[in-house]
Amino acid sequence: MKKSILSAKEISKSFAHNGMQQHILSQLDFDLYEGDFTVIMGASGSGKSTLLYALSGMDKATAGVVRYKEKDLVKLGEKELATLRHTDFGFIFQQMHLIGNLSLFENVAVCGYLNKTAGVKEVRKRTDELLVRMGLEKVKTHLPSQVSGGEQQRCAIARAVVNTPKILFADEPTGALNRQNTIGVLNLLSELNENGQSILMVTHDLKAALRATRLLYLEDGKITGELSLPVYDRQEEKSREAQVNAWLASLEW
Amino acid sequence: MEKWTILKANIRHKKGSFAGIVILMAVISMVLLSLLGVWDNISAGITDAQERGRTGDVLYLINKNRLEGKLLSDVRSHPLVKDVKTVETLICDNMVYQDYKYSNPVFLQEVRKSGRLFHSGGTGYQEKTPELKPGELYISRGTQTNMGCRTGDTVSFTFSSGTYRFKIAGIMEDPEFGASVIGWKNVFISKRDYDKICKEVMQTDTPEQASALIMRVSVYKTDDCQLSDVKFARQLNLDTGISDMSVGSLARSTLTNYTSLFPKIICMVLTVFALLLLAAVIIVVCHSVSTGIEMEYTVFGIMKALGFQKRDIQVILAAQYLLAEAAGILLGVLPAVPLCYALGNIFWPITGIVPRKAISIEKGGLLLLLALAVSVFCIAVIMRKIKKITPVAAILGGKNEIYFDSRIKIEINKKMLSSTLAFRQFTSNKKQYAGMAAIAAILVYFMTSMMILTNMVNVRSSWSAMGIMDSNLDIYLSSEKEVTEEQIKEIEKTIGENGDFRISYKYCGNYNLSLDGEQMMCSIFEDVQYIPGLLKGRLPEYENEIVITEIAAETLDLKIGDKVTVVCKEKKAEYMISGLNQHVNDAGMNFSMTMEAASRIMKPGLAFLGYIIEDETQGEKTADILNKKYGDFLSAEYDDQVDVMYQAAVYAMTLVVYLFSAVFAVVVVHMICSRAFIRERRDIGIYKALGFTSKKLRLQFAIRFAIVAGIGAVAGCAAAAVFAGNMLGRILRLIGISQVDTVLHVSTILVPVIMICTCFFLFSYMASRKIKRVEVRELVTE
Repeated sequence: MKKSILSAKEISKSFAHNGMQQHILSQLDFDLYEGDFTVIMGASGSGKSTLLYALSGMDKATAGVVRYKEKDLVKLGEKELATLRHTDFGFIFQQMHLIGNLSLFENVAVCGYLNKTAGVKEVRKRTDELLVRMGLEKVKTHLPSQVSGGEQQRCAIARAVVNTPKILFADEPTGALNRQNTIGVLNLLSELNENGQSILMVTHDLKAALRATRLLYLEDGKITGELSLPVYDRQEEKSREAQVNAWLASLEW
Repeated sequence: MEKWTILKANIRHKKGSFAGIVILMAVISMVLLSLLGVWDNISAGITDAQERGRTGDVLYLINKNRLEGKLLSDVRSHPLVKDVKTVETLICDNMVYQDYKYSNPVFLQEVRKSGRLFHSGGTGYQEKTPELKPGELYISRGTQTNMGCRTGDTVSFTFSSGTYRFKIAGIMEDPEFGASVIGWKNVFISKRDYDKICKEVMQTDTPEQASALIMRVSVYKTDDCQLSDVKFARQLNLDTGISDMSVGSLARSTLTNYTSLFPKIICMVLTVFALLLLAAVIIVVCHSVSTGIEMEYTVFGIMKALGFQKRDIQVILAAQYLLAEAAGILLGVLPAVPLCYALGNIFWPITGIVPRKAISIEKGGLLLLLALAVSVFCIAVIMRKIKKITPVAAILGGKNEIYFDSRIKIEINKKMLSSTLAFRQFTSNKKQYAGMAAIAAILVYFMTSMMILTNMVNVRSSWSAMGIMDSNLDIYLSSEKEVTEEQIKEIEKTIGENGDFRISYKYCGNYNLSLDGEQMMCSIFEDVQYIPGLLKGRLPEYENEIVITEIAAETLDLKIGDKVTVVCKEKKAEYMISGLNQHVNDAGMNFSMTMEAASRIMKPGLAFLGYIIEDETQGEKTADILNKKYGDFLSAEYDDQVDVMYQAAVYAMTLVVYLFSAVFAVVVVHMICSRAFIRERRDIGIYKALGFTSKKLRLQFAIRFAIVAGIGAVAGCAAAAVFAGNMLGRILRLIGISQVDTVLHVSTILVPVIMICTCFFLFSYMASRKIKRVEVRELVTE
């Protein structure tokens, strides 16, 4: 029996656009299970990113409850949400969003410094370890503008996990990368998941979706499909791809 | 039309930044126009008063018994002289109001028919001047300021024939000695009183009889005389010897200078400040244009793609900034009118004249036009960047912020996370903050200069270096009895019994002597050690040596080693200039010599002793003891107060400078913060996504601006250390101080630095409240 670490009940999200209410999410229920690599797929405009941001507390749902550790994220204040972001949640953006004037090392370490429970030495050690793991040890003193997009995204992953978050949220982390860098980033995410990291990722890239242990399909603001998969094994990629393709076809993707 | 459409849209879109420029320019235009207006109005008011009072181009005060018929006829027949007018006056060295004895000569004379009485507020004149009754007198506004008396009060004048009391019946315009800064004073009494006192004084058989009657000789230049008043006076003296024979003489231009001295200094200080602020506004505009181009990179690229040429964009950009500046200037004109009138009236107690009411549109307008021209030039230089913008580059996403490694790098520190991050934000984009640091430097430079000025007024110990004879116990020795060396030793022994003291000066007084034909004040000291403020050369060692002030030396084109002829009435002697000093008497136009040197041309007698009592609590007591013990030959006064009026003026100026600096800081910080906020919106979102709270980010934002202010402040202090002395020296030359002691005390530096850093910190913290509105969601790429 899997343990739910984050759950959403009847969440809705709507925006006012040209005086009209536009409903992106509509009374959606969701559970994120510990250790899962959950991937949400869906067509453009289906509300994937909106759901991710609502679940991660980066944005607030218009209605409903997002429960994490007995707390409703919708009702949390800025300070509590900020604490969550540097203790329990990690976030990877599609556009990396590194701080331009900080070196790669500093981009990661700054996030660690925010966590009051960790000492400076501990943060620096962990940052170094992560950068080695991400293959960035040689460029750790470089500024983001001095490294490639793949290196930037790997740094963003290191930053997201430096505080050993309970959940790692990823919004199209390979969306801005070339094929080679995409594989590198996905391997890293799979590796993290193998080590017990819970991941919730949004993507419309099939290659990325193959890494999931649980696939969800979002359409018109509602989850319309779910597929459970075994832990990713590169040897079985082709059969896995066929299975996912068939599932997606059944959902008329 | 298309340019106008875009121009209107741009102004609407950037209303915050434009409002800032409009406000800053309005403040500067208001201040500049008001100050220049006050300056002009006071000068014009003095000229008007002098015209009404028929003030001569040179005014001589000569003992009646010395004004021989030949001297007068020589003057009248001089080819440069158009007219000569004489008025008989009675000189009195003993005018008293309550317990206050006025220390300078006062000239009693018949009330002038043309004399005009002021309204009580000094805003204008009474229509009719009532005839004085016996026992009544009119005084000038300067006399009222110096004595602290009012209409209805009684003042007394003591002559050898007795003491005469008068009730003040009103305040009369006096274009000659009506300003408070001029020591000599005129008082106006009825013909009956004048004749009575004259008759009684003449009947007494004392030395005063011979010297109490002074002729005021007004000499007028011919219409075609090209010489200045001062040069005319010198020439007339060289040809007729009239100055040598006089108790004192003053050129009309010198009177004008003295009368307007105080407002001139204040206006000059504040004008320099306003000009520095103007420079700061140009920096702000340049910064705004520069960041605007970077921010609008895409828009400009698209405009080029639509067919706009580089020149079109430049015209639109320049026009929108110039429009803001011009609007600010025009907006500033409106409050400048009442401000100019109000400021003019503030100076009435000092100048004693009613200023004209006008706005200096020509001078102020020219200055502001010049500022606009400089602004256009700077904008044009910055706008060259537009040439590099191409439609392709713009469509590909514009110009993103690229950071480069900085040599100044401080590691990001967990304990000081906000501060170290703020410092990194600053070092990684130093150019963006250069303008702001320059503005902080300008503000701190001027604030520090004002602190130096405040210290000059307050710290008495620095006065002697600037040629101000400082003492808190002043002893006036009687001219009727000769005081011996033993008596002085006894006086000093008595002072010493009441605590420690220092001798400040021992001198005979100031005499109007002629130096190479130029009438100048000469201070005669008992000993060379009391001559103040030596700047160059050495103090006199021999009886044929004198020191002259740097200002007088420059005016008369004299230098150390030059030989000059000093004349006192009929006696003359040659002296050599051994050194240049700084001495504020007569606005710095003076020279000094020892009693020994003076005895070559006169018989000087020791008249004043000045001491500094270290224990201020013993001052009054010591003065009382001296007056009781030696009252028959001296009068001692203890006064430890710095002149309240000058102190108040300097404090008021400092307050104005601080106030304007704060207003300026608010507007500038708000403008630059708004721009920085737009540029850094994405980074703010990222920081928020990482777990930074709005409060922390606002703090980071404010710390960064405080760092910029701090760097600017350090530069401002350094500039003040190097240039403030020179700047203040140039301004204070008007009162005879050519070299200012710019010792920067800790407080002199700390107060402006802390104030500017705090202002920048607080105002940027307030301006950064928009950070609260930044949502992490803005980072989402849909």
